[in-house]
Amino acid sequence: MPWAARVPVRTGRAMRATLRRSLVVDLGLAMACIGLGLFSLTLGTMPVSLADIARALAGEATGPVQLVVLEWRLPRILAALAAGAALGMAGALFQTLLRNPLGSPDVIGFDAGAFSGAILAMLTGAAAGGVALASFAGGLAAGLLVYAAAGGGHVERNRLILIGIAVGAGFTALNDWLIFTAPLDSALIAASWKQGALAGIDRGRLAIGAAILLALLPLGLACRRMMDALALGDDKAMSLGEPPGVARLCLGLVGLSLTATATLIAGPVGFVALIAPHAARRLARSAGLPLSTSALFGALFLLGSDCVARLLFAPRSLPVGAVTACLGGLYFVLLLRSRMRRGADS
Amino acid sequence: MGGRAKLSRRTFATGAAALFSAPAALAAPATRQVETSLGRLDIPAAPQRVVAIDSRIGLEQALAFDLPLVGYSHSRARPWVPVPADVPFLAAPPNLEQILMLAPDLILCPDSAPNSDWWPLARLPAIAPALPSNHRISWQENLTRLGGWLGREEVAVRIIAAHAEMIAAIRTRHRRAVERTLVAAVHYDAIKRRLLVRSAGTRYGLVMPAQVLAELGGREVGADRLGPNGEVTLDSFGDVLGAVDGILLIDFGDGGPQALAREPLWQRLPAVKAGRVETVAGNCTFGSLYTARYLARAWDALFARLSA
Amino acid sequence: MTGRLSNALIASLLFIGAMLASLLAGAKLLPPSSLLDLLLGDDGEAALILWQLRLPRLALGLVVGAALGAAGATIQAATRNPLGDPGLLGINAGASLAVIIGSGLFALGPTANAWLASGGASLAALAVHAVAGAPRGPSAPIKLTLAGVAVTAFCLGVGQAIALADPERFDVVRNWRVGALSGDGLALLPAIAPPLLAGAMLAAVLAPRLNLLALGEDRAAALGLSVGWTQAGCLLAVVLLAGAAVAAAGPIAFVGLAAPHMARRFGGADQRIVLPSAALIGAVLVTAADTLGRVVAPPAELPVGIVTALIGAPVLVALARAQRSEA
Repeated sequence: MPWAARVPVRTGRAMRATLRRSLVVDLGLAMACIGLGLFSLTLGTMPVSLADIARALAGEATGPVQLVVLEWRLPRILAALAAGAALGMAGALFQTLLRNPLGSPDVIGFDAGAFSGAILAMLTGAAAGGVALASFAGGLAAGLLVYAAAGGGHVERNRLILIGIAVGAGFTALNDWLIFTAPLDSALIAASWKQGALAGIDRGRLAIGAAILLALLPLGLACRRMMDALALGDDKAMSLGEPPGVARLCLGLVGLSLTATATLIAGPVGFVALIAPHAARRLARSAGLPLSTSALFGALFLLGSDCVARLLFAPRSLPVGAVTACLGGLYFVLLLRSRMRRGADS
Repeated sequence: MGGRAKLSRRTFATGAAALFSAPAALAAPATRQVETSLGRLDIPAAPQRVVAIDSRIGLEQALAFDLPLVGYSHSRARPWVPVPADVPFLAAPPNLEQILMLAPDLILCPDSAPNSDWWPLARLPAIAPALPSNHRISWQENLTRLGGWLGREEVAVRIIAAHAEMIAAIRTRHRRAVERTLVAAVHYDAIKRRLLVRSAGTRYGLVMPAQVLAELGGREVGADRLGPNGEVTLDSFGDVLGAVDGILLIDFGDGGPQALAREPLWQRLPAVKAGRVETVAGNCTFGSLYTARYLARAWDALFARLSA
Repeated sequence: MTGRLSNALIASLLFIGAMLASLLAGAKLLPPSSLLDLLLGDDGEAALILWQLRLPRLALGLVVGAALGAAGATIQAATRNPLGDPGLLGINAGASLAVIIGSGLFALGPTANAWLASGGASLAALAVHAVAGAPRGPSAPIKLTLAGVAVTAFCLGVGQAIALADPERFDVVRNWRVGALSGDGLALLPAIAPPLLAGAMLAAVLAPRLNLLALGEDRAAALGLSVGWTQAGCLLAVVLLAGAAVAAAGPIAFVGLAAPHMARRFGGADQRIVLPSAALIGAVLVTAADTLGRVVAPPAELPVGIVTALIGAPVLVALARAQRSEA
């Protein structure tokens, strides 16, 4: 199961084949993201024709079409794509770092920390920007707390995961308590935010988030070398000129910042960071976790989930966090079936 | 599926027709400029299509001013709120596109959380001018403010005066009871087994039973003995409600009163022993004039029991 | 031997202390001096509080705590997972989702909920083991725990979606997400008794076999133990116990984790001793946490599930730091 531990040494030709395959998969996923993005511009309570959308994108639409397509749907779609990509990449980074297919940032407590920050901001009456920043800070704080409680980078992975789970449980208790005692309206808003904040996205928040991501995503892709080195084991990594402690710290910080930015944009949506790397690895059939594929799949997954959330019971919308949780559960069931067919390979 | 598509196309046709006729309506000089917490707004002098985001306050206000409603959200209208049968209950939390397609020319929305899914006041002006209500001021103040914006102060004045008259009549009828007795309005949470007192000001908000009791000049248990949301646990029933002469028991239809009847610590409260409990059906925690009227009758019935 | 004896003495003193505190403390404090009078018969309000509230609540706390402690001890031994806990393994969340569906959507009563919670707990337990892929070896505990957290996230997400569909339902359901002992013990105890007793008996019957299992699965099998059946039986016992506990009190985390560790520290590794002592310690922990939650911020109550989590999280951090490395 700890796939990163068994990166095989590949011959040149096999490596080229893998590379070609992952390029094809990435291209396909990118097309799918664009396609679904454009298609979902047409989805919603108000019917808008493709021609109208083309006009709106060309900046020629006015009135309700301009409002719905450019002001409401487009920012939401872009936000889902951006946050999904950030989460997908963060999941791949953390799962590599922790050498565990379930070691994603939402499982080890960062989401709970982000939620604590957001609730506290909401209860003190902060505006949307303040809530987003507080959630960013809360996620970072939880991550640093895990890092500090683990005594810096020198702790062994499984302990780090456990400490993450414990810190997450502590923050969750705090969150439950805050929601439990808050006035009804504040509690309702906080609980809704926990399940996804895509509905309330505005251009300003999206712009801030996108700007941070533009810096972080290339940085994440640049971690590729460190990931591969780490996957070979600490000694090997050292001999490749990548001190494992430094590499881990870098991966962790980039992953944490990606998670916090995704939360800033879309709220603490669960399961994207968990599922995307699995799916990406299966699609790309690569040995390690492909970062770009994972990011693209994350984007597609979150956008698809958001479409389901908006449309399944239209005009009512579901919380997107509930949809990702259900789809994530479904994915686990499928994973299990294929595993049972192949026989247990734990 | 085909039927649904056809239906939505028809709805769209109606909505679109209204949308495209909107500029014509705007061209007419029939707008008013008003000043709200959101800044200066132009609202139609005679709104034709009004959406109320919150069923508990905007809906009641719109009905009070006889505004032509095209939909409302949050939760289903209470039975004592006279909503015309053809006014639909919209998606909750509100769906902006659905509201846009109704082509409203005025929206009423609480300002509790302008960026939230549930009360998206900040995003509504893109659809139509939005007038805020506020949960921290009394229902009369909210009504007066709205009346001022709509240029119909006299309606608000009349409604508030009629209500005050009703309150005064209750006071005269039961003067002794109102002045001498201590009362409480409570809701029972049967799962956590605690009472939530709704006749006192707590962090929960400015609740209607407390507002109407204050209008009557009645005496209620102090908020200092309650939890932050007005909670009273079973073991302090006696301490908090022992001195209370009459209780208004709010029945949410969730089996609360039936469960309460099985609690010996409730049974031994003097007010309960003496049969001075009046049950009022429905969630009347928040609202405006109709809920106030409904609660005034409920308090009236309780004070009648206390006078007897 | 004297060490054992003094441990037992300390434990029983703590036990009695926690019970007394639980009877007297709360939004309304009962004076300690009056306890005997109240117990012997007095029909005032204080006696009613004692008989109708505090004693049933104490009994509920003891039973729920014992069930969680026994469930934790059984699952830790059966899967040889020192991190076994019905909360960490998603079992509590599965049961709690079942209860939200049962009472929130179908308005079911406590008896139906007890069985429904056991059903939800079993599904969650199966899901956790399936997701983790029945792992073996030294990193199995981490895999199971992570799978548990993922299943918990799923259950909470779905539960929250049900709650958020209606703002008025949300006002009520937001209170169920955290475990509390404020329910009516007199009605709940008979309702949860059947699954609870079945689970407890099963756990007790299987305890001696778990000592064999502790030698390692291969050696246990060589000694004639059917490992698969034993583990399946233990899992059944755990879901019955944890399901009953959740149906009565909602999800309470960390008690099932901490109680067996403390039991082993006091009394060694023999499962025949660990099981009852973990149950006893669990009972004390839940009672003490509940009492604490009632006295910290009167007149409001801090639910026991929040108290155990706020105390348990640092304990788990400490446990993780102290645990022997297992790559």
